[in-house]
Amino acid sequence: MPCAAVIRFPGSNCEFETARVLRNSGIDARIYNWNDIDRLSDNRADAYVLPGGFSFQDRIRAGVIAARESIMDLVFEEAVNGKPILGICNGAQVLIESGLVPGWKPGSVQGALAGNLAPGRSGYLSGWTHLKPVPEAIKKCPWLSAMNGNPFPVPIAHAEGRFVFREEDMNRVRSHIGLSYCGVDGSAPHGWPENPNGSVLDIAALMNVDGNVLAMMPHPERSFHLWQVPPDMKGPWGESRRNSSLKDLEDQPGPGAIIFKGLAKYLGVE
Amino acid sequence: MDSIQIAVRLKTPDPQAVTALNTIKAMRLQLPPLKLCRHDLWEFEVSSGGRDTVSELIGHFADIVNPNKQLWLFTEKDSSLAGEDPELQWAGIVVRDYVDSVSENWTELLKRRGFPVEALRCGVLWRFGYLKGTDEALIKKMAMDLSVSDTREGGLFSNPVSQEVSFWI
Repeated sequence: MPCAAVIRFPGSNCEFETARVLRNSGIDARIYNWNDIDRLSDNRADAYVLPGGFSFQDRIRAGVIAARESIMDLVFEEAVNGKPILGICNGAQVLIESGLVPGWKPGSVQGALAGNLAPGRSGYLSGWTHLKPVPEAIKKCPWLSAMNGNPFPVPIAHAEGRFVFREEDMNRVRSHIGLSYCGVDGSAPHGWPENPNGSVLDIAALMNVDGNVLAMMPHPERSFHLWQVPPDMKGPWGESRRNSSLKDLEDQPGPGAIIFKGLAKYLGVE
Repeated sequence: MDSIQIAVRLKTPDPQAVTALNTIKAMRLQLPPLKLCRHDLWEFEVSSGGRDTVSELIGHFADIVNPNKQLWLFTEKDSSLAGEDPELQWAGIVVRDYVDSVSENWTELLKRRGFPVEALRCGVLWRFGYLKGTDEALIKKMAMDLSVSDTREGGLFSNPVSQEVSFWI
């Protein structure tokens, strides 16, 4: 059975549910602490996930301290070797601060996840958002490989999740977009609330050059089961939720399961 | 129009500064700072009332200064800040977001509440304490190098894609 390593930093708080959804997807998942470098080095995984939370209490800037931890040297090496790496929320912030995404020059910080920007609002946001994969990314990125292009709802919760790039990089960053924010029907957002944090180009998830590393701000592990979708959700997922019996809800996959199903497909899980 | 700046710090040791200093130690720099202090920096453009206006609004908003856990002072050019070891030579770096909704929203809020504040900008002031007698130009260079995160191993205090860095005052 393929194995994924979930890396826990001080302050991570989504490691257990992330490991659980990986296991539910047919992938053995083990949680490693940030200082378990020898143990992880001796047991290299087939994929790596940096879960959500507040690594090092977001001190100085979200993700910046974790990005300098020695365990990230190993993740860096595995990313360059083509292993699938997923950073969710705080994990995405760590990947950006590590220079792994967008990764034009791996190790150089060439993007930022800045403070949310919305008219009359600032600080932490928490809610649901709709995402749509970019067709080219489905072919390129293991995490998106099971997608069919349809929009899907996923929870989102962060204070610093606005993808920002230098003006001169705006053209080349387009080819790195994995998931975009969108309306319930997949339509392009017209600012807030469809684009909840003011990300440039409506970016919700960004890949590296080779597509094996994905930094995504929304939390797919929080919508792995259909019962996690709010019954009043608009669109087909809300309808499925409302039309399912309690018994059905136990087994039905939710919209976020597609991310982990993509990894399972890539790793050859039947 | 008066431009008035205040620095706000925790009464207790700042965990962010402690973590930052520990991280800097691990970077094995040629000339690391011996001490590090962190302040929230608020810059107000007030159309009347000067410092009295700022003192009054601080009394209204515990989100700017929470008197239970924070101390604040008006900053002066080239002054040292409370809590700094006078035996050290200090350099200050200010980090601000290029696009900052917090500052924009505070400006709107203060205007709505009737305070004569035309603009407000917040940032973080990092003060680096070096051995006294160290060359000032070298200190400034080290402080600036330490402040810009161009690479994973490089500086620490700002992401150059979304934040600007300047010497304080």
